[in-house]
Amino acid sequence: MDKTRKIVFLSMMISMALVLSVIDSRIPILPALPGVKIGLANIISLVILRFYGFKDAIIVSIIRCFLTWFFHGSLIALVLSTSGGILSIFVMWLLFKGYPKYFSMMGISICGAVSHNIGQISMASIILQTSYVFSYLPYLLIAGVVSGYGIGFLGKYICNFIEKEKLLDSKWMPPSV
Amino acid sequence: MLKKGDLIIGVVILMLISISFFGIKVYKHFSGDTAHTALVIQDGKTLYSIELDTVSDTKSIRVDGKYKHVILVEHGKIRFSEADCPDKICVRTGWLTELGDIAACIPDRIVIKVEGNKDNVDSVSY
Repeated sequence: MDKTRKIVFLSMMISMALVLSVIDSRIPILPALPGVKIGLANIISLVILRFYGFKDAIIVSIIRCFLTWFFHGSLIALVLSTSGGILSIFVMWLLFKGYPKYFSMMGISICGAVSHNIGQISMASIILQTSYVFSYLPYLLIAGVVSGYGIGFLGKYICNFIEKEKLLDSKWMPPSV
Repeated sequence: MLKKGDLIIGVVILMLISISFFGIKVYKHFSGDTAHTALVIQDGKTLYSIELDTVSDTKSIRVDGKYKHVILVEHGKIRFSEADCPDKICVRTGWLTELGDIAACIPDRIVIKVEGNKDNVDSVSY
């Protein structure tokens, strides 16, 4: 029963992340910073990390990136989003070890957003073979803090809801990898 | 709502932002304000090298890959002015004027970079 519930839940999460990422790409933020997104799909990563742990979060994230690529992406966008996504989930997983005593959902999400940006920009510098893209870094970091906070807030709200309605087993420490 | 670890995160990120911001300023300062050369690179191959300071009238260049692009060159500046690609991030980047400015069409791997003159030292041998 638990297994079925898990499969159903994760599949729903993948489709929701896909829709969020499509909506995301249509919302223009700051023409001055090309390529900056709100990152709504990261809400999903947060929720899955919280309830299911590292492995499932990575799998969902990678599947979502590939699906987004099928729907409307270029290969390079795929490479950038998976590299940012994997780094960000890894960092968030490490921080979740200290949840909820040391870090709040917002703090974890901010770190996730920041590491996502760093991962993407590093990959972009490799692809474009230039280190000049790093001049975007300070502005990306600031945008990451702002959006990370918002995403963390939404994620916290959703996690609280899931806990309250007892939709899933709540564990304070996600099961090991 | 603010926990112990959050404060540490805040401090670390503030440090990251300041370091990257000032690091870039320092780097640009030491690169010196030499002649501005714009490079148009497609797939790693440099197609054009344009001395922006010696441009007297507006020129437009067509660069095509999977999508069509029009690059506009004026005195001291260069930009993507039109592109067919879905994101149009390249066009939205606007004018490139300073050392280190860069615009790219990622799907087509077309990059415009503004560099200093060729005396930028990458390595020294003696």
